[in-house]
Amino acid sequence: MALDLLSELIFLPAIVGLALTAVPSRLSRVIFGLGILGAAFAFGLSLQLFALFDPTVVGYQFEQRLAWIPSFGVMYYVGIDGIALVLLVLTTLLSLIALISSYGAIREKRKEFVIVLLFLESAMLGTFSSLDLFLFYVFWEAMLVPMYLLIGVFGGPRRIYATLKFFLYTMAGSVLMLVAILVLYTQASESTGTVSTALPDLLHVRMPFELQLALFLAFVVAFAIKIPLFPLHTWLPDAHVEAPTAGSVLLAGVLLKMGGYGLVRFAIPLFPEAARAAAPWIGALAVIGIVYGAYVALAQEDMKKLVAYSSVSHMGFVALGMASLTRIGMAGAVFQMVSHGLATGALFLMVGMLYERRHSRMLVDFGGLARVTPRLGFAFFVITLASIGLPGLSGFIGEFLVLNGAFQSVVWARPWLFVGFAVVGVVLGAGYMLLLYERLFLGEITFEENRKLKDLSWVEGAALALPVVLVVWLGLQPGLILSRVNPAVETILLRMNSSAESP
Amino acid sequence: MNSMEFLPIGVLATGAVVLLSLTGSRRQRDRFVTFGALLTAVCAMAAAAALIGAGGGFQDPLLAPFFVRDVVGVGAGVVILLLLALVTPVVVFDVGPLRAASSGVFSLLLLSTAGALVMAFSRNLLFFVVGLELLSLPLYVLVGMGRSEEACEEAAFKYFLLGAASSAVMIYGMAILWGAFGTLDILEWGRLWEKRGEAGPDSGLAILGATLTMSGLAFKIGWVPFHMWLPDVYEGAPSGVVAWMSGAVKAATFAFAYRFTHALHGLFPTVVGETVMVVAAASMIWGSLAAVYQSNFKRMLAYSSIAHAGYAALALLPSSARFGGERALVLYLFTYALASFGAFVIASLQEAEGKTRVADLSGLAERRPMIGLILAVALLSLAGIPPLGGFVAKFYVFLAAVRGGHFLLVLLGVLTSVVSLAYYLKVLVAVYMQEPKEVRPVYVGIGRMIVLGGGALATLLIGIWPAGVLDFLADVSQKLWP
Repeated sequence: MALDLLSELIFLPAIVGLALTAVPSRLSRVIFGLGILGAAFAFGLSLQLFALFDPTVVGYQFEQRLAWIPSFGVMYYVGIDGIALVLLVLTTLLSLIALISSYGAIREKRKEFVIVLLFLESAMLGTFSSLDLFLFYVFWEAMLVPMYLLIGVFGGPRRIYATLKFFLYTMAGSVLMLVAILVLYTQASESTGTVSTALPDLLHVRMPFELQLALFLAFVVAFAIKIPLFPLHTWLPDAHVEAPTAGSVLLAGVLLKMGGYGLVRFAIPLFPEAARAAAPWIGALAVIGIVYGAYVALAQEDMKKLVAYSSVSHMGFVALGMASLTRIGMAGAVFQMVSHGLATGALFLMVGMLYERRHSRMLVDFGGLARVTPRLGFAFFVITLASIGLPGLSGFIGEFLVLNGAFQSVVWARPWLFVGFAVVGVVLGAGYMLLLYERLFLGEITFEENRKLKDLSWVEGAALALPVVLVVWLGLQPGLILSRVNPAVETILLRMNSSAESP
Repeated sequence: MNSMEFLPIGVLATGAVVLLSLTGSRRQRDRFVTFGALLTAVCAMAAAAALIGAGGGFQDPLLAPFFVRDVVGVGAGVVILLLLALVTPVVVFDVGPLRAASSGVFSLLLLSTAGALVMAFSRNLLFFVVGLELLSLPLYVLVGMGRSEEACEEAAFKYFLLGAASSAVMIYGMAILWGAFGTLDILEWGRLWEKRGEAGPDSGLAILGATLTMSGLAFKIGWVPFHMWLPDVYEGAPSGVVAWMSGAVKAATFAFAYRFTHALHGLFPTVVGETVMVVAAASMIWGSLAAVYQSNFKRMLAYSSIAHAGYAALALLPSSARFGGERALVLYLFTYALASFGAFVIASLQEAEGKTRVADLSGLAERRPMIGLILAVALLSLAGIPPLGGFVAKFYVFLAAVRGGHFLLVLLGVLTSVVSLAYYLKVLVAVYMQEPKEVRPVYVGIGRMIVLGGGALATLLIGIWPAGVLDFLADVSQKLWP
């Protein structure tokens, strides 16, 4: 059974993780080294995919189908389009960075940490690549256990509360999706006679509008919890605050993207009419989330909480872009996912570095650090600006495209209302991010112990370098992503409209 | 060759008698017993495998009117014999009272297994009762062989008393059914039913008899509201015995219950389905909710087994049958038996240290990483997390129920699954995220390590490659009805 490049990429981290179980835990440096090597290799494979990917081809690439459970019509069916492609690269990059940055930070149970992280990476890659709903659900759920362990074993003082909340919250959403998958499968087998869980086979299932709406909502609840869409976001601040740095990076950088990805890959194409009907509501919740998240972030004294609420705000843009159901808005949402993944991943990384040095996440304990740690200050500045959406950096492109799409959208009656409120969120975003930077790095040094803080070590610098470079690069050359995402979004929208015209 | 059809049960019964009559010094006896028990289990499995391989139904004119070989029967038989093989090393290497009386324990276990097999294959009410008593009487004794005298006496007494009462009610119901139909063969009922009104069966009597009989089945399975005995018995009984009975008794009773409900379904199309629905819903809800509040590990597992009886009942629904309900039931019983076996054996390790609470499992992963992992696999499989066997089984059961039109019941099923996750995760929090109270590693022993590891590996394999088990089931049903 030969595995294709894509399958190799999906399973490589897990196989490395499995192999590492055989290495005795006292050789923790070797284990970490091998783990980083494996993650780097996976990153290389994903870059190879990126290079081999042909943006002009319509449909999925690197497809592979293997019979898995023939009696259910379940296949091992993977394949990617432009959207999945960029998210795969983001996943391997952030996993690699998370591992590198944990080398010094994790001191106990190092072997278990590396193994869990590698398994998580495989599950994430599988989720982005699955084109079979059963397979997707398996990978989607398989992410939960490693994340549960990552927060619960390696997290902060309230880690057990946070990890249980994370697990139960996510599970509650995903079982609704499971029921929806079962019903969809039943509908498909009754109307067309095909017994299959493959996405292409389920795209044109005829069903009454009410049923379509119910199934769409079941999917959306699962994805909305992950995004997280207001008011289902309450697990996120707890999980972020208690998670170890690597956990926060992957949670914010990759796991939240599963929600937006699920919308564009499954929920919207499977139930186009329901999506159109529900779009204003999703858009409204997204806008509320944008403003609310930003407003709450303004009041935070804990850096991690601040970044967590900023995620609620920034991911609101993703939901808004998806709900606009326009090419430009959806492509912008995907771009925003990548940009947010890089920027927020880097932010959590740097918050973790400050915590390592000072053992505090409270803003009052810092101030004037720019003089003590200039390199960290510079990296933080670039990421802050990217996060605000300064033109020339990646955050601008994503937010601009989303707002543009929301304005052009025909699914809601008063586009200016949505855009207007979202812009308020942008302004507030500039407020809390600049405030965060000011209180950390500018002004006088208020605490004596802050004078002796070390600047970035070369390992930390290496971990931060790529995201910092990438937010600039993508800001200047967004076509790198958009040229691959646009055709995929167009295909999805085209299929949606054609199904609306021929009822 | 036809008399060979009784061979698996005959082997078990012979083994039981031989083991009981062993004499000699304690050490010699121990060795004999261990060897003999394993040999009996293996021989019974080999005989059963040969029968399954040969295919077809029962042909012996002596057996054919009383026994039927269908997919649920064969599946339950495999589960029962597999559990026997798994539990043998556990009892042999047990350090408690089970080991002290090992020859007796093994012959009781073998007799009980023989009874379970009779139940799983019978189509005749009388033979079912014989099997049931053959299963239950040894179990009443085994349940009383626990470590703490008070708890296990209570358990044994309760089990015996309630078990005897439920048997009495059930036998009364069967007598009424006999009065209504004039035959104890449940597969004959459908034919007789068409003649009702003239000289045929009386429908009032039939309903009364069926209800009483169902209550007896519900008692053995542990369906709400006949579940009261279950937590007390599971808590007090020696964990090694519970590891066997939680899966085997359910498998044997479910196999017959499947046949019974489907025979009745032809008679009363709506009532049977509705009854099963109510029972399934009540068991799922009560089992999951009550388990959340347990601090005793075995009690928690007991309530979870009530919830699982509810999930498996979804596969029993007559309308699920068209969509693979039969195979879904077998797969569910199989994965449940494996996972609950693992969890209860680990409870027996804990019991050997004199501990019973969930909190006492704290730091298990540090004291014995392998055992922590096996427990995690078992509990996550019970919770239905992919890629473990429990997920595939739940998926199959839910799929059959959704296609049968029971959408709301499945919604209830997934929601109670989320509730159940709360208490499974509570255990895993103790195992993985809390500091151990003692540093000394847990005593496991090689025999238990092998069966535990094998069970966990099988759970994982079924989850990753379910087609293997499903193909086997398809193969069996093909051979039965070529």
